[in-house]
Amino acid sequence: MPFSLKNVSYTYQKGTVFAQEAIREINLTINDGEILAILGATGSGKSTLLQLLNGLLIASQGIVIYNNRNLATLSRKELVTLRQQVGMVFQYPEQQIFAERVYDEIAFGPLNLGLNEEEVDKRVRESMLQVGLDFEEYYYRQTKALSSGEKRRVALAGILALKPRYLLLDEPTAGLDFEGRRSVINCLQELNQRDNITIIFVTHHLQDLYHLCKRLLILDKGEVKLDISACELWQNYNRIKELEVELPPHLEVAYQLQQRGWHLDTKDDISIKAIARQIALNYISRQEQSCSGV
Amino acid sequence: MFGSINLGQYIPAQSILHRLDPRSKILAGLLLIMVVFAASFPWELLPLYLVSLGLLYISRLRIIDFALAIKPFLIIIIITIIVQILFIPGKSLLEFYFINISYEGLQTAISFILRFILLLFIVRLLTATTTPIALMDGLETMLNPLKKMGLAIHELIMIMTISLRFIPLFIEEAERIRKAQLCRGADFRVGKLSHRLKNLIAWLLPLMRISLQRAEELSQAMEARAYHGGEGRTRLSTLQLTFTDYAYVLSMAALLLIVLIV
Repeated sequence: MPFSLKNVSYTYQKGTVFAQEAIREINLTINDGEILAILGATGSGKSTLLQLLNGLLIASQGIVIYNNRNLATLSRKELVTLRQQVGMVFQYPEQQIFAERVYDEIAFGPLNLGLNEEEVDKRVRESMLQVGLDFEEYYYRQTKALSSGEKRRVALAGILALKPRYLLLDEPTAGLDFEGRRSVINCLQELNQRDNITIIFVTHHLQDLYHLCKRLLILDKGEVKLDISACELWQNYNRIKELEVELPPHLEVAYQLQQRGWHLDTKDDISIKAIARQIALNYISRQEQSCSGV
Repeated sequence: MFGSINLGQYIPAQSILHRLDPRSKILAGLLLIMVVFAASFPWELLPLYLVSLGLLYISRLRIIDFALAIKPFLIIIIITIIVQILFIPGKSLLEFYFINISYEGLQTAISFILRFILLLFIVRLLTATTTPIALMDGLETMLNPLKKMGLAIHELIMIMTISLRFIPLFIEEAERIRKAQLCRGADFRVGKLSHRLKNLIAWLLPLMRISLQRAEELSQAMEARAYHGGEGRTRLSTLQLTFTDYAYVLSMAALLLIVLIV
């Protein structure tokens, strides 16, 4: 397991009157190829947890282990390697765009890694393909003239050009329109399935991203309150409601039906399609039952 | 990275000093600064430390908060002391090779440290016990007479209040952008100068853009709530001087008088 957190706590402005404990004694392991959603209210420590995973913050207590190395003991050079392998996309990543042209913006990361021009060019093309931006159409476009969805994908490509094996995302769909959200979500799904990149994202709006995740982690006041796979959603419904996490409407419908005795065998696929299929199957078998009853 | 910016930070607590009118705190602070300069070394300067300790006790703050305020000035203090010790001529105290430490030099150096620390303490006490908003409110009221001379005091103070208010946000934003670029392998502290400069652009450009955007949004939000400058604008809470305010200012004035006469 590449990521393992043991008793990790983090306190902001430690030792001052403004000290604030953001993360408290978290134990967690994250496996390769996972898609993990971290949920929780504002101020529950979600973003802090992400930053602990790629060494932007170092745990005040406990240890964060990545590939058998304690992050607190890494040298500056090793940290650069870590951040290359564990890519981080901040909230509103389009704000970090500074270059005039799309190409230069995406090439910034690879150039910082000291790669030669040929390799940089290859990576820019690859990452643009990964986020669904046509190279010929976009590479010379002005960054400021792009739509917000395009900007976000450019920023995402800027991280992907580092060839990370893990991708940490903070609210990847916040503030995007429908088209922008869809393109980002598709992109993430493909990255996970095709390139086997582990994706860990933070959100407080599960609506957009529910069908991506196989595992849910709910934080409350800096503590992990729930760590379940998507198929365990139903057993934990009440607990999820207690933690004030909003579920997508179709899951609410599915839950209400199950409460009324419908048997929905959803396994870990909780997409609208899968739920609709289960409802249809149930409906048919119920019809048959009532017919044979007559 | 920005840990050292705490010189002006307000530290909330329940104390008489926190409750005082900002005007009296500003005035008393100015008087106290005059006292520090007027006091002679060492028998008038040293008792001032007792006064400071008293104020610290009343303010219910910890001494560590003040120690932190001195930290960024340590280098300046040390350099000044070395220069004074080495280059002020006078009665020789210690002599080896070409270095000559004089009695006068040492005395000036010590009195300099004592005064400097006191000054930092006074400023820190003011900013630690008064919110920036209250401070600006107080200043505006105190500078009110200048309005008659046609100076735009209200606007000036509003600008200062807003900038003070936005410093923490700005720092937060700067930190976020820095981290975001750090994740793309941009280090701002090591590497070739040309490289670092380029990385600096990746940091400052987005920061500028966000700040301008924020300024634009703020001005629109203010205008949407009918802000049109200071004319005819009333206050939600007016400043009120109480007995403690008079007592505080008068005791500082008395202190100045004592130091000047003795």
